[in-house]
Amino acid sequence: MATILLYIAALIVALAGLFAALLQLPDVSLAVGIGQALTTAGGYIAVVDAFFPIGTLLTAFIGTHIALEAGVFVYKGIMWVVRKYPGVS
Amino acid sequence: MRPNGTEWWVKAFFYLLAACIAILAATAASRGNAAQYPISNYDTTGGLNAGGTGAPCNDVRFGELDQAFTGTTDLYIGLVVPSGFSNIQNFAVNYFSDSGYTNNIGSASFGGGGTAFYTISSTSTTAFNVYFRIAAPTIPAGSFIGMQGFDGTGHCPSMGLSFSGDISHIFASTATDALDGPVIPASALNFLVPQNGTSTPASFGQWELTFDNFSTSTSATVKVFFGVSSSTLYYGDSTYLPSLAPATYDVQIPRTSSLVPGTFYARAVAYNATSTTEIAASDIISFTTEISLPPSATSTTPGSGGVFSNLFVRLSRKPPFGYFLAIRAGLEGLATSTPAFELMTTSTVAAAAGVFTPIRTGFVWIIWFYAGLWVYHRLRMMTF
Repeated sequence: MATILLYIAALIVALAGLFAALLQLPDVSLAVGIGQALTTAGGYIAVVDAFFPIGTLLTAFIGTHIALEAGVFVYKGIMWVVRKYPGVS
Repeated sequence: MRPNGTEWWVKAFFYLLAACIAILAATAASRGNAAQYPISNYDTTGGLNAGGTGAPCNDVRFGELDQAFTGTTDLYIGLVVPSGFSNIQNFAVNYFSDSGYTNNIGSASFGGGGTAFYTISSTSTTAFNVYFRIAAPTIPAGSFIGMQGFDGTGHCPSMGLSFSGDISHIFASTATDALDGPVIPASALNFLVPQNGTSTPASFGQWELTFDNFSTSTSATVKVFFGVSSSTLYYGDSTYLPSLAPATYDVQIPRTSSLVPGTFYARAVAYNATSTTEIAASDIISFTTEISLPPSATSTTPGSGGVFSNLFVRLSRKPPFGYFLAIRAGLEGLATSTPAFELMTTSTVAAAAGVFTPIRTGFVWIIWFYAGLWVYHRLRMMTF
């Protein structure tokens, strides 16, 4: 359940970032119903999670994928910088 | 082939920028703001004392002008005239170099017609409010503004009452309502501004009038009427607005005890509004200024009473912003309370956990196994 809440929080942060420009307008705020709806959906998922590990599914594929690709990207960046030095290949 | 030197559009941009700056400077020099000419040293206790035929009138003393009032700008002085002015037919505003109001520098003119005095159109039996537009060429700083009343023959009438006027030279925003709606033509020359709201003002308040749907006209005046019903208007000639330029006016409500408390209606009638729209050079300059200068935060804050305080509300309902508003309204509707379903079992939670936990553990192993295969495949296909 804690893993699912973590992903829900990440989803809310992503939505806030997506609407960041719109939220700068006066009298515009992120609807309260968004957080409530996500929490409700989390409750549904938690029930299924009792016998089918949704959190594990998300972590094993999405989380691992993001971590792996981020690591590869950082590795390539470091190697690109290192090769800027003369004599290093 | 690329030409040498600066690109043509760069030159055009800077030429355009210079032209805009010149226009703005010229406009700013020719256009004033009433709030930029404050008056201090209020002296509202002056009286229109009795004067004889040919005798000089004692002035109603407004106060000292803090800044120089120059050129073609307009100086607005709002004055609440109490009842009892039936025997004064005209007002004239003079300005003086001394606080004793004895050394007269010159006199101002009223309205758009350049008349040297303002005529009360009818016998006033109630208090009314009037705004003067002084079209004087130059009033130096430190001058003292005063007003005189006289009859049709230019003589000072015998008043027999003391004068106590409230000066609202600055349009302080204590707006309680805004008139904003389409223009209903009452006749070929007159336009009615319908009221779209009512208010219950204080015994003496101000009313914000928003004129933004008028076509440009250079020879129009506005008079605001008040009434206690939407169909019957009382206290005509209560307010005189000298021009019909799209703007927001703060109109003071007459100080009459018969109107408070209660629902209050206001209507404005535009007189002499020409049907043929004439576009003058000054209109073009004004329009250029309005679209070039972004409004300040004060004037755009909702509820501030500023000129653009309703702008965001109107824009929020129009495409493309209206779509976001609809989406937002729909998202707010998601906050419905549907109870989460419960898995029906015939045993306790512990027993259910005893059944499902091994299944879940199996799923976890399978998921991580396939995740490992996926990672292995990704690393195997990776190129550096």
